[in-house]
Amino acid sequence: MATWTPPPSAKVTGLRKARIVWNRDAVGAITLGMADALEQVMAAIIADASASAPTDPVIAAKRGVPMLKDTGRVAVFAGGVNKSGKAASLLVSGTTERTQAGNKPRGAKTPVDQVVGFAMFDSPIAHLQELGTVNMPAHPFLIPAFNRNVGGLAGVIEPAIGKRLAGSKASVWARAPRTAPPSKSDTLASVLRAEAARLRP
Amino acid sequence: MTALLSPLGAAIAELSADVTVSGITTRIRPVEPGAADAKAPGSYVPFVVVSVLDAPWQASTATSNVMLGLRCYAATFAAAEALYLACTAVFHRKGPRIATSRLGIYNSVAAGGGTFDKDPDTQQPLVYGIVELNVSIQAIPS
Repeated sequence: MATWTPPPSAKVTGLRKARIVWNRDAVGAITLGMADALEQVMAAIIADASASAPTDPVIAAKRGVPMLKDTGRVAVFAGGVNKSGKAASLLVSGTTERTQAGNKPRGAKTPVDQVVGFAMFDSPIAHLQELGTVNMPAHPFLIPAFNRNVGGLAGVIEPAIGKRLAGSKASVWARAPRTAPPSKSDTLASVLRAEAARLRP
Repeated sequence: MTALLSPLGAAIAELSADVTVSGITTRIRPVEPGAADAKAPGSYVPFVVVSVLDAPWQASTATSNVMLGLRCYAATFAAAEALYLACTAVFHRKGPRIATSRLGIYNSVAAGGGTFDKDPDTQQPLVYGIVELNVSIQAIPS
């Protein structure tokens, strides 16, 4: 067992008295907030990609299949507890019946400690359009849409987490009273004056 | 007149100059295969097609993040994989360099791929790859 002897000049300056509580509800709310934000961005990616995906209604009708642009779907997975009581990555939101049936993209990894979002097209020709074939140049539609929209995640993740936390009944953090932050017009001096007046007996 | 700063051209030049890749094939094509590249089953030849998937300019720097799609065709899946590995090794974490066209390449990485497939028209085995190049949008002065 490792031991540690303090050097002669060291002294204990304080002891942690606070008890650290694992706020399961708040952690759950944060996870779901991240999932909400991810779903929002994935949906934006699919909408953008669908708008630039090639369309051929005549061939689609002839073959009796939906057009490529109509096959986009979104799925978001996050860590949770499954029916057996074990930690597992579970589907928390998604579009289309195929997603709700629990179909993950082949080979996709969804670690338990991460929130993972998928924006995908359920079409056997999607990757051929995106990357090309020997007889057809690449017509990328998903990667450009991803690059255009993924930057928006930073703007939606904080409000989404805040919304979930505010709605979390057992969250102490959400129910704690908060003072309004000083506005930008407040000067440091006026804030200090107000604080001094408040503390004056 | 300034030289054309093509990230696709620079990538093809780097692939063509690589000893391992050129030991497998010298058929490195931009956008689409050459006239005699796509052959019928039994007479497949190895070749690589490089295309630009996206090239957004960065907001705060004079650089562009170019995503290139590689399609590495060969006679068998194993040969296609060997060609794919040779091609991605040309780019992965190669650091700053200047192409002969004076295009600055600040960094390049293999961003994805390794997926096996068959071409829908010729049934030739291929492996997809995606590489990302962070390049200058102006010529680097000599």
